[in-house]
Amino acid sequence: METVLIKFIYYFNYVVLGYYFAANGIYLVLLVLASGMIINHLSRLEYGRYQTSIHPLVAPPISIIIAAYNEESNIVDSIGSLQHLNYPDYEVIVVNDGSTDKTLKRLIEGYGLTRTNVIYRETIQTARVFGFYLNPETPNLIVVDKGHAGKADSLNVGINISRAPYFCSVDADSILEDSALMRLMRPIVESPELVRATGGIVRIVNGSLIVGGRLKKIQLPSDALSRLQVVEYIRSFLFGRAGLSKLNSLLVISGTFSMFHKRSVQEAGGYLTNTVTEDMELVVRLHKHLIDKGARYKINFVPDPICWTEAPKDLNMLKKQRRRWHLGLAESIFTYRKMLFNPRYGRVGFFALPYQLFVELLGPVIEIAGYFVVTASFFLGIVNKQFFMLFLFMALLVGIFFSTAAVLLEEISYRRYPRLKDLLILLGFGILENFGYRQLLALWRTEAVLRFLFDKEREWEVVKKQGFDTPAGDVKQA
Amino acid sequence: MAYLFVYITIWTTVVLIIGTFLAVLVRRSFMGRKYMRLDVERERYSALLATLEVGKKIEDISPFVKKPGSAGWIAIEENLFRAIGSETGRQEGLRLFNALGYSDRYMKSLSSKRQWEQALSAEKLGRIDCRMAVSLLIDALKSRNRDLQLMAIHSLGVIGDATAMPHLVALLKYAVSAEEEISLPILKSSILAFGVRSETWLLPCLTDPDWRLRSTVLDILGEVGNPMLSGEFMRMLKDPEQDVRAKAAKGLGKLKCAEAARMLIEALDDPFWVVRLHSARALGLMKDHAAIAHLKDMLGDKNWQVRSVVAEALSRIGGKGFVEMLNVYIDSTDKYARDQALDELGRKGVHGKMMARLACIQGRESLLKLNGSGNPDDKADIRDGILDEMLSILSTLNEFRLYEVLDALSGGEGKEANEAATTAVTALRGGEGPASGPPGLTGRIS
Repeated sequence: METVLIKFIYYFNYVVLGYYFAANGIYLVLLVLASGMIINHLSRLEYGRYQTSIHPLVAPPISIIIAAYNEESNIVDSIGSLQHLNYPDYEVIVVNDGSTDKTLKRLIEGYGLTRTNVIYRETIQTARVFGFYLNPETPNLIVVDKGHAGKADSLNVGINISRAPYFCSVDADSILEDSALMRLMRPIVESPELVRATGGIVRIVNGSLIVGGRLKKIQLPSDALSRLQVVEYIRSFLFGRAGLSKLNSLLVISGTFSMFHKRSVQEAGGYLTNTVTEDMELVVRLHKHLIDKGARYKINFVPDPICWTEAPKDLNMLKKQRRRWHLGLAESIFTYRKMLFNPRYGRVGFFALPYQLFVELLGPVIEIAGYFVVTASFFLGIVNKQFFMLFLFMALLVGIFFSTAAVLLEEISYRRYPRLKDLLILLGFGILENFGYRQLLALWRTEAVLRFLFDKEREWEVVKKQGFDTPAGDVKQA
Repeated sequence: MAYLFVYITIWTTVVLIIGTFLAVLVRRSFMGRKYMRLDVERERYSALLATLEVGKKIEDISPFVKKPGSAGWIAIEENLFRAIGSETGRQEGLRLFNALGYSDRYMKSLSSKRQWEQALSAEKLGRIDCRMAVSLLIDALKSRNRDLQLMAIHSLGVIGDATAMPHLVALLKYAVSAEEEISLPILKSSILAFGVRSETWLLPCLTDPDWRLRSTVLDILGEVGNPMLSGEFMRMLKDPEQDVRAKAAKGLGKLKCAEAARMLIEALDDPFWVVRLHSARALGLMKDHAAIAHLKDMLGDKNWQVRSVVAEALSRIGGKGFVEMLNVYIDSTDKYARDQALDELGRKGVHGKMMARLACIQGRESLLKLNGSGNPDDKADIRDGILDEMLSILSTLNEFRLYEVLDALSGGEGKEANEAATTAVTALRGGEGPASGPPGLTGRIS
């Protein structure tokens, strides 16, 4: 028995080693692809200003859908920030998902809304809708009150009452830059028959100065946890998604800010309500639906930092958020497992889904198992002490490299943190995140995988946020 | 072997990390200096913008001649672009773009090896209204560089030189048959920029055998909005292809062509729902009161999108349009028509406006307070006479039905307010049971 265990540990070391190099090799390829894509995008941005002078009548109308659950602290500011968007034709639909706080009251008072009988056509089946609130003076804002059934259901309600051919889902705790819609719509305006969905970069707003729902000054947050997340978001969006988009293999568009062709989503059945991460599930389903239909299509990533959101400020909330995201990833891959290595689904079946499965989903599990097995090997004398230390050192260095490379991409692209001090802090946290933070995330993700496998009563973990005005310290510093 | 591999990886990664760190810092330092130099130059040439914006001419241009790509060149370019954005500085700014060599530089860059530079130059040539570049931009329409092609399309529209039109229309013909190759919205936008001058090239396309081209061209002509073309639109309303008929109806609405009202009313019976939808919308845009009765009947159309647009059209016509929607809601046996009428009356805040009017008539401020509808001036877009007529209709209902209607119109909210309003409206009929109209109001109803 002991021999078998030692043999297992011995061979598992090779698995960890092989996996490690394969995964990092893929990351390296994505980094190279993302660099190319971002440079291309930046060059194209220079003449993107032409959009401001195209005829307003050719810009497709958009419905912005906001699902709000207990967002009393942010909701009025969030909607306020949408009134400044540079786009000729859009409506705002706020769906109050059975909030138990004063979200609805704040909206009614803030915008002088009155209850109105509006026809509700349930193209996509949803939970019960209680009422609609409008102000005839601001006909482009409609608030829907409904029973609590989750974000996906709220977005489906929004799609059902939307009157535009495109809809944009925006989180209630997010702030959009004025040009956000314009930039997200650019691929659609340039190839309306081809592009069915687009997503932008989401950045962390903690620490920045917000006045009247608008971002006035971008600053790094003062707490370490938020700073770690800033580096993580930059890495995830700038080279993860940009690289995957280059391969037309994007399976995740952040639900925080994404644009969809409404009819394509309706044909695909809308958002699925019994999943914990509706955004990824929808994108995978959209790929499947469009490929099954034989449609030529693109799902684009726009590498512009145009949406800002609040990140969890304590470990408990962060843990819940990350476990939920990973659980959603597992669910989506499991649901569409038939697409895996299925030639019918081409690049999605042979690269995008396997990448999500083996690198994103199982990566943390193998990493955590690796820590135990390699340590056991060390104590059992299976691996040489010097080799063990060298490997550990190498792993840390590779992690640091990817973090600093992401900061470099940020520096050559958007430079949203203009102070040298901020840049050095980002680089510092790029190193620091490899000492504990990444391991902690891997542990939570492994927990999520185990929960997916063994806990059948999975539920949405609510992440509470403080609202934009709460971190007085941060705002005062600005 | 494994050691060697790990050592190589470690050293490579160390070199990469140091390289990345240095790259970040060097980049920051380089860009910092670049922006600093640029700021100095911007400051130096800020007087240029101020001079141009007050409409003065620059006699001696020699201090502004700079090496292309230098900080001075960029700073002057920025100021010139700002200047042409102002009415007073536009002419002189455009002259300086030519005199200082910017136009030549952009034209040369159209054949640059860097495709982004080509597209950027094409976009700038449009912004500086460079007519000398028109032939080059026309050549760029055939470019394989998609961005250059898009920017050339856009800039030709901005410049608006008529020699570009045949080429843009030829491209349009190609684009409607190969939708994914060229952006139709940008092409349409460019052609629209020519306004009525585009008609010479667009009108012959209306006889093209390809219905997609006829439909697209009608769409553009509708946006151009020349009332002289209403005859063409009316003719196209008889086109055998449904999409063409729909675009013709849409265009007639944009033209607000009163002579077409009869044809549009007939088109409300078209078997294709999009034609009915655009015909209804057009009648709404034309604010044709004669169409109200026909639109009222259309509130029960079998297609929900048509019903929705019909209700919008009735409220756009306003006046009796609202009265008829109220009548439909009260009297119709068609549930879909009633729901649609209620939807539109709700969206337009008719309940609040009627309550405000009721409060004015009776001097009962309490009604407004109960209702929360606020300012009596809110009724501004529905005339008092119409509100009186609607109240008059309501006053003919028995109390139970009246309360039911008020409750529905208020979205089921404000029980107390609706009870008070029920009493108030009932009082308007003078306490003689259901009547034809309230004595206090009948005199004002037209």
